[in-house]
Amino acid sequence: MSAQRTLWRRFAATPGARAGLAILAVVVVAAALADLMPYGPEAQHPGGISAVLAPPSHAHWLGTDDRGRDVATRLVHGARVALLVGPLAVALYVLLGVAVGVTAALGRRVDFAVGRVVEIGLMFPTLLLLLAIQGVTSSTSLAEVALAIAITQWPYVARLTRAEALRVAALPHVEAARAVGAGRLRILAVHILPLAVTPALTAAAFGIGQAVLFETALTFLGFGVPPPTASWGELLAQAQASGLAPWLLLPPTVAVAAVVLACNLVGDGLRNALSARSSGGAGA
Amino acid sequence: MTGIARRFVVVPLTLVGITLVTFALLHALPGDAALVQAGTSRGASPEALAAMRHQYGLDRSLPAQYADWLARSARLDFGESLVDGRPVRAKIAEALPVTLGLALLAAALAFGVAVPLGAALGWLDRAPVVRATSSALYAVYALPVAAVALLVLRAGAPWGARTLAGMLPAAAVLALAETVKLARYQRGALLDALAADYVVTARSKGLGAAGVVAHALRNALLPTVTLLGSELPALLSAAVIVEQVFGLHGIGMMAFDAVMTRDVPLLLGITTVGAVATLAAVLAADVAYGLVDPRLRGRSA
Amino acid sequence: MRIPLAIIVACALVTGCKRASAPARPDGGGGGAGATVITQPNGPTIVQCPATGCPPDSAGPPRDGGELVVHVEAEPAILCDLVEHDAWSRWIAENVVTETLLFQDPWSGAITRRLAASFEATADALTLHLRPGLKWHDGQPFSAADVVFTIGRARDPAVGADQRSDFDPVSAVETPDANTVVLRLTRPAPFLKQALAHLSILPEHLYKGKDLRRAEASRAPVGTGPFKFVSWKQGDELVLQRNDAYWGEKAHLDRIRFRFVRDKEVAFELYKRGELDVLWQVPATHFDEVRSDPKLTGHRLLSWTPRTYFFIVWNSERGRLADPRVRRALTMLVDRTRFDEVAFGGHARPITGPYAPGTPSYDATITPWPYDPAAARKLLDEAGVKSMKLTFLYYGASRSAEQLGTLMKEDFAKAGVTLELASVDFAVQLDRLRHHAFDASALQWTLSLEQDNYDLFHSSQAAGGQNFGSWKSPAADALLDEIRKTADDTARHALDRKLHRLVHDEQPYTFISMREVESLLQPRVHALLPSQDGFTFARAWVSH
Repeated sequence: MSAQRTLWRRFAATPGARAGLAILAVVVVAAALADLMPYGPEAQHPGGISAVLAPPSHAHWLGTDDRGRDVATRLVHGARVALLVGPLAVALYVLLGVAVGVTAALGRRVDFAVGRVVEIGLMFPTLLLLLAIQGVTSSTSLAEVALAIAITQWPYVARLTRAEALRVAALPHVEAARAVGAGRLRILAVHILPLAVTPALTAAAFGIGQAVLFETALTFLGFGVPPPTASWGELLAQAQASGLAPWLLLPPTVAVAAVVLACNLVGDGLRNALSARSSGGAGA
Repeated sequence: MTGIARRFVVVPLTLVGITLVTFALLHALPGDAALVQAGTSRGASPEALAAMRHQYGLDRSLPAQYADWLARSARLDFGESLVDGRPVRAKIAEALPVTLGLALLAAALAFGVAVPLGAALGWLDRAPVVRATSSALYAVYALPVAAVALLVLRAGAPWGARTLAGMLPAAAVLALAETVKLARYQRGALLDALAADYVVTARSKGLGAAGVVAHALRNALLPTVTLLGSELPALLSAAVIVEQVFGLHGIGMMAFDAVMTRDVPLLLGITTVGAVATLAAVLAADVAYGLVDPRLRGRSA
Repeated sequence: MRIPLAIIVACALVTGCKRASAPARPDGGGGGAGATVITQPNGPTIVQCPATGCPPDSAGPPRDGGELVVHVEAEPAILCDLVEHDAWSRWIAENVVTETLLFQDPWSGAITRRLAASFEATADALTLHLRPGLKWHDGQPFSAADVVFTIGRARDPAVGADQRSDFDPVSAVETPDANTVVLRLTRPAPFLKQALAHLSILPEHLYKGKDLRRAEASRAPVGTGPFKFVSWKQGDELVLQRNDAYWGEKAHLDRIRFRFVRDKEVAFELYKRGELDVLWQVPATHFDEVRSDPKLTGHRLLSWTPRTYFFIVWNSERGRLADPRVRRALTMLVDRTRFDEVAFGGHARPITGPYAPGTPSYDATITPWPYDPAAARKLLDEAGVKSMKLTFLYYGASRSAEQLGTLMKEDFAKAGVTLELASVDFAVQLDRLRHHAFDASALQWTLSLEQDNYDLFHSSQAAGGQNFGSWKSPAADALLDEIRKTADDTARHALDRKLHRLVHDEQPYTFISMREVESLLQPRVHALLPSQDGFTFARAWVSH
């Protein structure tokens, strides 16, 4: 059986992994077809308070918010934001985290330095950085939110990668390669990197879900994707400002939970597929 | 010098690095404390702003301001808040226990629930109830903290609590995601331990089930504790949202306000305290890792 | 959720906001004529307060004792209103703990005595005779020296007091004896008495040689008023206690607790649980449900309009915005009625100029520019604007500003104007306003009953002053200069109306509206009336 089929079999064998994939597929499709929704995400119902903060009805399946905007439409458009910010943030921090973490295998001195850099990364004043980005540019775009999330998360990936890189570096065939005189960088690139990347990839899957949660939190605090863009965090913030009306609070909560759940299930599957170990081990 | 000891030497350097970055970022932001206090008011004339800036030492050169702060902080004098003139140390001393209390309470709750839960899941590994519980746990893990917090508040949780008991709902919300993470980790660790050779041997020797579990659990506990140690920084940052929703006046909210009001001394003080706390947590986790796996002794996690 | 900031929440105070409480008279002024009171069996008693003020409630006689818990949304940093420009700082301290020389009725504007037992105003001097034998809360004697000290600080440019320019006509402050203060004037001072009515006298012995912001007395104020300061637990609550040695009519309440709750929704929740007695402002999203909520039977819902107006300031120096036709067109693209409905549930009053409607300074014949996208488009064409791109700067935590921005974005697009929204934190907005680095921004001002608009509209105030939009109009300058020199009220009001018309024509601001506020009081609370200048704490009482 080919390596790919083995990977898929191991992936599919993990409970829930296929369900997770299905959920993500639904979200992606919904995001792609968002423009087919009957209303625009920013279309404020012209005229009148009767159309504002209305509970679900025939015309608006999930009701309207305090500007008369259709909640269902904004929910679906929010998927776009989630699917843009999540993978972008994750790609950024996986790249950075792996790059930093894997250099730890270059030697004890470098390892020490990497350890300190990661420590600084953990202590970084993220809130401040977010404001700095916002304050210096005239508005925040999705890219900047993704960057902000990436800056908070890369140390964790770096740590994972470093641990894995060190473990791989101690493996017999790698030791042998060094004994034979292969250069450190070559060993890094050829032997260590491909294997050390594994936990990072798994972390990436979980990370997309994490990033969505992060964006929610940031927008809730007022730093994420700015209004009027419909992100799930924005919907939650509006729910909070509108007295927690259930039709405003539940849809984004369920949406975020679904995506995060899906990412976690897929992440589990990936971990099973990519690693030789079969026990539960750590959650992301 | 052993690895851990070497790390201590570097701590002051790291602290300087972090505070320098914070200082630079805060000054890069538009607006300063004088401007924020004067607001859009009629009295905010250029002379008034200049007088305020002079009083706060904001009209000196940036390197001079930082150097002065550094010298004072070495004596543990973090200066006065620019907003109300109270000593930074006093303000942090008021807020830190709240956040620490909240985080430790959350950690305790998470640990207290996760260990038996995870152990049970590991022990009953093949049972169908495990699948169902795992899925439910995943769903809970996925809920955004803000939403849960709001729902709990709506359900009648106390607001602005000052006692540990009053902070329980807030701590529970904070602990939610952590509990799930730890439970899964505990389950995995227990499964690993149960599969270990010495356990198989003990079983074959006729040791009772209780004895086996106790033995395996003791070994499985350590990785969970170490995970908790390294999770503390993340827990502290999640505390900001919970503090905000439940009206708790902890470090998270104070840091937020300090940034908004450009209160440089207060923010630098909080950053230092936060950095020290993070370093301590990371160090503790590394020591624990070293105990678990001798190969990793002396290195960071 | 957006987190409001202690310093911004209420308003930019053009001149001090004052609290209504006349110690030797019944409830401030003759308020309440023409109020509508609706008592419901299954809901709160709704009181619609007219421009003359809220009517006192009929329950009585007052009972001494008890405690009142008041909700405060934005905790002040310090309690010295000379330097702290936040509304709550004044509402907690002025004429509750500290006192002013004169008193201005918050509804009619009439100026009467307070710490000054009597006063005489002539063309070249204002003489104030202080009440003799008064003591500060710490037992020290009150005298003219304190008054001179306070006025000196108010005039010091380094202090940055709001009233500073009101004292410009004063050439000297003399104290012929310990209980008399004479202010010598070089020219007419139309705004001086009003300034004195909003100037809390500070105890010299506690502030001499100290910085006003840093002095201990600014965190534990000492005054002469009906209440004494007890304690302030930051982030939690501030407690005042009745001053039994007060020189005037003593207050009824034993204690007042000001509880700091940032989130309006949470405060509403706490009010419903009974943990708060007074909710100054019901959140807009609950306006309608509150009026018919059976759980609020017996509560009093006071509906009144503070003198605060919401507006958009245009940067009149930038590109096309320098053309008044363009600004007028943009005004016609702002659907103020729809905004009022969305943001305030329709509970708002229109305003067309920078004066308090109903006062003689306000030209009531002026009608607002209509919402008319077609006419706006025509005006833009006339001005030679095919399409335009603007950025709308606003403070991110202000929900109404955000609502306004999103409404404008949609409407502007219909006329070919692209509006981008820039939500920033307060410090950034301030910085951009002061450096004139914006196109349009949302703000609010609070009006005095005698409004001096010099700082807002005079061209000299563009650099470093409150003329953020850099509007430079020689006609306006002439009017503003003249207004400052006209002591005769009738003449000055006529000039005010001229300025109103000029501002209406030129639209340096797009005036949006004045929002109505609904204050909610528990059934046990009596004789507590809200106003622009705060609450009548000195007259309030609780029934159990």
